[in-house]
Amino acid sequence: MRRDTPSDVIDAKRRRRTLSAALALTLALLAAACGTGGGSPTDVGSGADDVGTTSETAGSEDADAAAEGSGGVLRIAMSAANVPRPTTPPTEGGEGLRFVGMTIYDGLTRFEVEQGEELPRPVPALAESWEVSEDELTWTFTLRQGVTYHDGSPFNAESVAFQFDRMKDPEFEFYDEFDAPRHGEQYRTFASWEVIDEYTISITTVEPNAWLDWSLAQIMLPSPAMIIEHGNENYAAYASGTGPFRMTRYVDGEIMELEANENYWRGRPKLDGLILYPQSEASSRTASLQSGEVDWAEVPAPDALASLEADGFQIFMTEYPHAIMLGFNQFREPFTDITLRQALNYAADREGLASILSDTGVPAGQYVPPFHPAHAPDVGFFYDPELAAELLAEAGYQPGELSLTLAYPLSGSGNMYPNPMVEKLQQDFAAIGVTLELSPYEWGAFSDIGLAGLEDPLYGEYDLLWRSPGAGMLPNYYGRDWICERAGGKAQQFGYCNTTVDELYYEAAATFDIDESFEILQQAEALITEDAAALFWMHDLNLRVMSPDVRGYVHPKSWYVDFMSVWIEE
Amino acid sequence: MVSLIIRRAAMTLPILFGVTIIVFLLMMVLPGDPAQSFLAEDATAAERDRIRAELGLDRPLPIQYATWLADTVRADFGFSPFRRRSVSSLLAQAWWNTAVLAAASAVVGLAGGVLLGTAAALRRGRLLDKVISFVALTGLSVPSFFIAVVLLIVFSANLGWLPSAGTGMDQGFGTFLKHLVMPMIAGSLGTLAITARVTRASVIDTYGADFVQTLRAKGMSQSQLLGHVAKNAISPVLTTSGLQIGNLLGGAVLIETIFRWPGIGTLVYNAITSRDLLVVQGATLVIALTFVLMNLIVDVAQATIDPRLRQAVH
Repeated sequence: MRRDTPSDVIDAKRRRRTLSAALALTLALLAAACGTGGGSPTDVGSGADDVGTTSETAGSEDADAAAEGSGGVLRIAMSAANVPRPTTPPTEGGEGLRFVGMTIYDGLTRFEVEQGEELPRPVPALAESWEVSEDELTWTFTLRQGVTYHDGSPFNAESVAFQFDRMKDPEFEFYDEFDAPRHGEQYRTFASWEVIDEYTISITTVEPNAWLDWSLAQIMLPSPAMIIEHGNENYAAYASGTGPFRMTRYVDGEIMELEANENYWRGRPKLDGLILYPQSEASSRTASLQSGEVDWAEVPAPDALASLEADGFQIFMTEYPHAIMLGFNQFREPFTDITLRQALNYAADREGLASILSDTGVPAGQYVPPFHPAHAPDVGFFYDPELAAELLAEAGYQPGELSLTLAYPLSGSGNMYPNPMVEKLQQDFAAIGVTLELSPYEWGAFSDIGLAGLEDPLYGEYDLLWRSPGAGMLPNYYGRDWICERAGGKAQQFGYCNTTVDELYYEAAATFDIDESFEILQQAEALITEDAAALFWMHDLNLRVMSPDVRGYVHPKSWYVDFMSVWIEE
Repeated sequence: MVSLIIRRAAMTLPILFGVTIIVFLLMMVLPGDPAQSFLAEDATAAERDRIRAELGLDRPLPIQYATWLADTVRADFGFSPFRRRSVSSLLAQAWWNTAVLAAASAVVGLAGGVLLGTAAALRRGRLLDKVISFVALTGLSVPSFFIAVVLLIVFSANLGWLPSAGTGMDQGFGTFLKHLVMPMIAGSLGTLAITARVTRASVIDTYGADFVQTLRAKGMSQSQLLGHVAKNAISPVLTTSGLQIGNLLGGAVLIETIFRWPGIGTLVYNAITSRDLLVVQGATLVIALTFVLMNLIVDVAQATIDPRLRQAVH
């Protein structure tokens, strides 16, 4: 295996940078670390034109031509604070599923992330095909034969049912009381399941759920043999799935090593292995990439982009279903007034913000970005301070009369760069005479506000609530983000409620033709936008940087990635 | 001397007890629910209640604390459902990493600080003194994470001399030393600065004492004199050293995070973020115990060196 001892492999060819550049970068990093956000990061010149392309630097143009390469160990600096525990589902949220879940495991379906052109949809994986019954309640899956788990035990319908029992049946011997609730959302519509024969299993839902195949792509299937042998408590040390990579080493808090699964049913991955490091500090990830200790770094500080690009690193950005938006508290005055919600939507200078963020995001006019099949044409907000001032007056506020509070997180994966962003918004609002007070929260505590919602008297004082949803990544995220009543009977997080949107959502969820389903969601999208339900603000571009040696990588419009085609150029 | 140790040791118990109560209460008033980490975004109230029951959060606070205390007295720190490991194994792993880094930082910081401080005192008012004072002031004023990032960019990203992250402990001693250099420098700078300043002040102070005048009048050589001065000047240095070592052993969250050094600072930080109460409690107890022990050792050392202190405490 190549390059598995980081200290021995510091790459001589990357030592040509000047110290002055380093110090300038240091100062920029310090500014970011202090949260001043005052320093305007350098413009890397990646304008909006580049958006939608998978890559903009050297290396990518060779990707198609040199698709025949293989080998190497890909070392990744994750932004997670810890190595995701390789249970099902893994810990550490989206990053856990991306690097540990979908590498060690497979689901019955998988997202088609080997392409970077459109929204990845579910395609067959461990289920080769499926049929939906006449009443649209029962799905019957025909499973792939001849697949084995990494420990050698066979994959079959019993092993699928084992995981369903483990997550959904509190009476089951191996029910996992800590992992199951985290998985609740994927199993929400499950009523029952039945092993029909060795390679056939059926799932019956409580109501027609046209998007069950989307949920199944997030349900990872572990080896029952290992869970039975070691128990839920100790399973992580023996994690075993059917996926493209096999876990060979796992040190909680430090490292995970994986090697290629020679017998993978989609063919052996091109890489020989993967090494995952948890490295939550952006400047640290950037330095590890620059010194050649890792080949792939999640979200570097945007200030570092210019120097990374100059040094030949590959910078990947693409529009994908991920939004940063601010929910207006519609449980009470003043945001029960739609005119005011519109006014503030026109007050936000999104282009200005994008340039502050080195174009690592693009302006959002509505919930989903333009490439999304549910994107509504002819509606959407943009920056128009004069219109904003007019609408503010129409809503009955003179400049200086309105003061608002915003609750937002200081960090957290998928939140872009909260501090400089909210400070820019403060200026935008001030320009039309609206005062914005900032209430920063540590990420763990902030997640609680999202869960409780502004309905909770603890948080009811806030007028605006930061949200960073995977906007439309799965169609049921519309339900999570917009319907009047969430699971468990809680109201929508910031009190948005339009019963027509609810009706459309439930209609779409029961429409088994996915394109038709998206068309219905598009009507909901238009309504949500017309209602100015939130301040639609930015779409994150999923920034990721890699060494020039990483080849064959496709930057998908998703949180998830495909490691099958990646290799390291020797 | 023995009674001094016994009395000091007895005094640590109420301190440790107080620390755990304060930490327990602080964790309870922090916003955020430990059950959160185990729930999906659209979790139902029933799912939340079940997790809260699993975590024992549905019981009254005094009962929760009493249970923890009873277990801890039996040396059982409990189990972290977040990490699916016993708290003691988490503490052992993190404490060892921190102890290694702290020991290296302490040696460099204390030895360097004493040397620089003494040199500055002996050259009082001259150029060397000014240079050392400047270095010490810089070490005190510049935050360690800034030094860490500068080191990272210069020696790792640009020059490629040193690895940027990890401990390298499992890759041989040479590799480990390379990994140690930057976190050690970033971590020891504060200790070095404080020690240098305290040493300088103490040495200068002692040189002004009457007994030094007497020894000088008797015609004692400069080097012999230094020996007497050192023995008398060391007491305040020892006092600050105890605190410094305690500090280093408490783990430095920022340095550990920047250099991916999985020590006790990172452990506590992550545990606080996820409201992993048992880990926070256990780690705090260990850190408090370290502090108390270090101070005890310093007191004993001082009493050994200085007979006046032995008299005073009796």
